[in-house]
Amino acid sequence: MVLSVFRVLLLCCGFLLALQGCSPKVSIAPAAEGGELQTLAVLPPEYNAKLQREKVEAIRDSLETELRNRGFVVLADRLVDELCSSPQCPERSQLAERYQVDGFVSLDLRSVSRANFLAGYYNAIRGIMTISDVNATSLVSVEHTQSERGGLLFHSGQVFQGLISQVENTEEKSFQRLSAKFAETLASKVPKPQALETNAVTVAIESTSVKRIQPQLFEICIDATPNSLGSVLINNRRSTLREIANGRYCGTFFLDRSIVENHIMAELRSPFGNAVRKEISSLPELEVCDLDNKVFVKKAGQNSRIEVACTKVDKRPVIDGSLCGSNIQDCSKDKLFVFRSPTRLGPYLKVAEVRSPVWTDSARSGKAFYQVVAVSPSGVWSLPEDASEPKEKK
Amino acid sequence: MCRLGCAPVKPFLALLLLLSGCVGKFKHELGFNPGEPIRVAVLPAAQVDEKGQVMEPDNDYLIDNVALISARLKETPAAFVRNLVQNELTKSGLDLVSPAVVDANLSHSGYDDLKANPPYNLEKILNSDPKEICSRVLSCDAVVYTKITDWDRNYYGIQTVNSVGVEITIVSASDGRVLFRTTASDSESRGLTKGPTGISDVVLEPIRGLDNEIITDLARRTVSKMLAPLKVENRPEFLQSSPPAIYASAHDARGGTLSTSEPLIVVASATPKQDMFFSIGNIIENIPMVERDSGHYIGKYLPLSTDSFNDQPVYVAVTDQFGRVTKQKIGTGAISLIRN
Repeated sequence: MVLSVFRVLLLCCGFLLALQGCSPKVSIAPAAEGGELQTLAVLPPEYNAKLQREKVEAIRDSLETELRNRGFVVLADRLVDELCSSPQCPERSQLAERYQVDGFVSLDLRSVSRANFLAGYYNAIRGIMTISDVNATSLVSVEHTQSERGGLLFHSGQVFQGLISQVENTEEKSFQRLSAKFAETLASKVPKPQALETNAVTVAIESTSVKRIQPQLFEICIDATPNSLGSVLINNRRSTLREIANGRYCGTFFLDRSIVENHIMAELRSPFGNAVRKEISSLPELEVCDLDNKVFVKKAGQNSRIEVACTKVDKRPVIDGSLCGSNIQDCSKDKLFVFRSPTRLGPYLKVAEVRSPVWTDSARSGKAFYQVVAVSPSGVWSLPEDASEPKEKK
Repeated sequence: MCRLGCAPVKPFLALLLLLSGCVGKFKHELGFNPGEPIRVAVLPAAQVDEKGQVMEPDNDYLIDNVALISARLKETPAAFVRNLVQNELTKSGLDLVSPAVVDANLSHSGYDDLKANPPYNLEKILNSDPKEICSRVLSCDAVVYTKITDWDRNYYGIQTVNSVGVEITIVSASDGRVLFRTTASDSESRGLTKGPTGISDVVLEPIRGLDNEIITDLARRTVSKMLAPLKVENRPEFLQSSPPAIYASAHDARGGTLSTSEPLIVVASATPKQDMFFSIGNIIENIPMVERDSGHYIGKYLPLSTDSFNDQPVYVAVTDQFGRVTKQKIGTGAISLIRN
């Protein structure tokens, strides 16, 4: 009798402990109860040194997504990482002033545990999310342990389900599942924000400009809404621009024709995720003579003669003698740089700078290898082309 | 003998198979390169009936009031699935418009309905023109429409079957083309087919199977599988080619200090005909490099008058047409740009 009472008590205690572990501890200051928090900055997370950084970053990303889903406007990570020198972010007043941030979200991850004992498993993530104001006064605090258990031991009433859950308990899958739920629970405890003023996140690009600094080096600038994130989209990649003056974003780029042929777009992103784009149409000409399969080397007595062919007959390049005509492209304004090397692999040294398509190397009589580069009037270089021996026209 | 004995067994077996919950159906149509950073707005999702008409979710389950068995969902299935879609798309290359911006702009553009939960005119949203959404309401390139075609928890005494059906479509705003469409229906069961270990389990497990957490977990898995083709690492082309490689890289900053007037030159040898970039820490990101000769890339960075950084590593990265990225930290050391 005594034993059974003791067992019941033990079960009740275990049950209470289990319940305590499942429900988050939430404290909300009166200042945050009415949905006053609207724009948040998620600070770099603090975490136990034993935790994997990738897992910590994944939980931070999940938390940001969940806060956005809840209706909050979340400041871009880039701005937070740039300004904050530590997870506490002593520079938070700058963020508040510049981007009107209402709350600073700190995530203190205590543990990410994974216990797998063949007949069952128990995985858990434990941490505290705190939202504080600019003076680091806590407004919302949520402490939560997200756990999941499975396998035969914990699905003792359903054998097949126990086996299925055990098989599905791979590290990656279980972590993804658990971290998503952990972030979801934390975000769900924060009072929903009031409706957003759309003007607060609107951005606009006024104009774009391009300045040539060196032959292929350009400064691209956009004039746009201040305190935003400017970038240039090149081949589906965002290259960052820096705000050098109020509302003026610039960057320097080394470009060639293949890059410019694709559309280059300027993009301005509000710190909270809204964005506008504008095509950069004022890029200067980067055309240069194409020497592909058109450079030949011939014997001229003891010397070598370099000839550049500019027209094609029967799909084969032939020596023309005149500068490139309109058949291919106008190269008459380009200069030709000739490089020479004693071996095919180099090193190649510049030996001549000519405008004529024919040039004789009178300084060297033995065997040598040549490469030719066309340089446009604006200084743009073509790809180097090896000089080869021509096949005579039949 | 069998005429009498087998007749009830056959439908019973068929019912067991049907109820076992192993009948997930997934269908994908992909019509664009998910590596493109197109800007996408995920519109509020709607639950629809067999005829495709927007319906109110049936949340009135008694079991949701029984503590320790189930709990009410904090939001409608449609709102929950929209969040899942949003979460999964953050793992793709798509550039998502913030949900707060989407919701605020829809509310201010005549797509709201304050009597509904969530407060949107979902019928109007489902039938909206993506061109109008992306030009008049939001700044985006494409719109994501989500329909919940099935969200059911069915109790059959000895078995419970939870089923979820979702349809997700991404439509281009410029030409109305369907960029991606995926449909799925899947189910999860508890009870007889999952091997009860005692008489009491035959009765209890189907009741436990009505737990809302089971159907939400099922929805999580379903949406994740539906949007898997948009995650670059899951595309089949990957299996047929090697990812791009970087063989060598270097920069010309002597002693790690940059001149304010001369460009930093970065060179790399990598797989030919790819897009190559270099970055200085996380301050100056993705400066394009030019392929000077087959597989030989060169990039330059000239500091702006306001640029300044200390001890930043330089990375080169090469990316192929599928969006696979190979990154290398340049071994010649970190660089600094210090202004007096």
